[in-house]
Amino acid sequence: MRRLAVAGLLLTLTACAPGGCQQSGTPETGDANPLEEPLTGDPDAPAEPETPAPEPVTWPHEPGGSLYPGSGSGATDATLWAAGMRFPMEAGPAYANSQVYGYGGYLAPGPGGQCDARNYSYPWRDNFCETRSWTNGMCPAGKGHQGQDIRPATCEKKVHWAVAAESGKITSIGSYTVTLLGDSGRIYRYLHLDMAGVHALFPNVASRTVTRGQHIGKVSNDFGGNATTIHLHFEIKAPVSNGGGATVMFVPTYSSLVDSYGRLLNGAA
Amino acid sequence: MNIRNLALAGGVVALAAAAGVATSQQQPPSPIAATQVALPRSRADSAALAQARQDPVAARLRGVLTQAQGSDFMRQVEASSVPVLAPADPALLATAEFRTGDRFYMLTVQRGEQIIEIYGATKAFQSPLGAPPTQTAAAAPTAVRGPRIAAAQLPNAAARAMAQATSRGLTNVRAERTEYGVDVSFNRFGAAYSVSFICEGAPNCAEADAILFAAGLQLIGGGGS
Repeated sequence: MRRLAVAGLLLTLTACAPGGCQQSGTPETGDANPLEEPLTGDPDAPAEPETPAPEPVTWPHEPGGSLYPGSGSGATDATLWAAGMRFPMEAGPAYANSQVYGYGGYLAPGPGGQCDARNYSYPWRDNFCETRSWTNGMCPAGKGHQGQDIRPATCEKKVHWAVAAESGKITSIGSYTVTLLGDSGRIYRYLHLDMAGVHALFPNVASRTVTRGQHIGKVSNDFGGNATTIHLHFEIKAPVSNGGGATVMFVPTYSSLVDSYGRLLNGAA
Repeated sequence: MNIRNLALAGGVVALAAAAGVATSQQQPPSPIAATQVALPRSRADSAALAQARQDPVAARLRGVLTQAQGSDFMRQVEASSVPVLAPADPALLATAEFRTGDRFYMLTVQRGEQIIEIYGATKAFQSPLGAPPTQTAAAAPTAVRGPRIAAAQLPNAAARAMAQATSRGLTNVRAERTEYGVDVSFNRFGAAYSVSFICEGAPNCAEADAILFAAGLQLIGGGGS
């Protein structure tokens, strides 16, 4: 609860409505005495307070396909391949950006470690298709990063929960890979969670049916026998129609993440 | 509730106020959301499926599965609208877990340290923005990291594996390295399949091996209308 509240305060500080971060909403009167309520038609009755619709909370994010300069060509496809999915972390803020081209990465823009504050700040940046040797049919180069890397609210492992993007079944738990088969038929993969914790949550097959938003594990840096930076690598695979047939392939994640994070910030995850 | 907890709870309330109002109203579908389409089965696909159902190996595998996993397992397989492919190795079938849904299934087996996930679907997601820039041509497998001599031999092995896959009726075969192993995708019986090898550093995770594994999959049931 305490951590949730701290994360909540962090979110308040970092994500603001366009009009600023002041609290808004209906003033709370706290008046519970009906006898003192003004009668209808009473000339002394105060006018109904106007309650303007709250402005949506936004956060700075680069457009889809806009990779870190020099890190390759991104996928400009804006399709929501997983419309309505739950943002895969329980709470904000979260920072979608590069692990390789960010501070502490081996192609970092300058000195600094993975916990550098610049890694834990907006704007978001797409890194699907970031330069890799892996095949990716959605990338202009035909190869590239097959998911999106997301840092949690703080540079701490085993603190921040990753959650189910949709209801479905956990079909496998490896040494750093968790697979969720969504009820829609999409395949979601979560990498680098605290795997001991994942195994404890899902000790047997019977425990592996999950509902949208359910805890899957805590974001960490597990990478088999090695360690990586503290982040969630999140990817989506699905059968994609190409007109005449279909191919099961990685789909761009960024647009669905932007959509789901916007809903999370606005209280409608 | 002590003062500190009260303050923290207040922070959450402030967060909720700043974040806006939750709504239970259903959002209208986004105009850029992918839609689902059914994959048609051609006459040739239907003929290949009918022929595969007569394969004596398939009948033997169904018997093995019934014995190893129980009749309920096979009932689920038979109920799948997708033709269900599975490995022919009884040792792998003994580890099989099967999940099915609306026009898709996944069968997961364990091979040593590797997890192998066989996924099939007779539906697909379609972009309303037009066909995505998918590279649907058979992708040449890329070289695998490892000893130089092994990498030098791989292209031939992968080419042979591709040829075997084609002779078994697999089309649009693609193999790709992933962050955790190798994936092979292909089409058969009019359905779209993917076999994911979650190796995570375990040996014997080359693309050629993966393609051969996919080519050796047997129909064990499903595919009814």
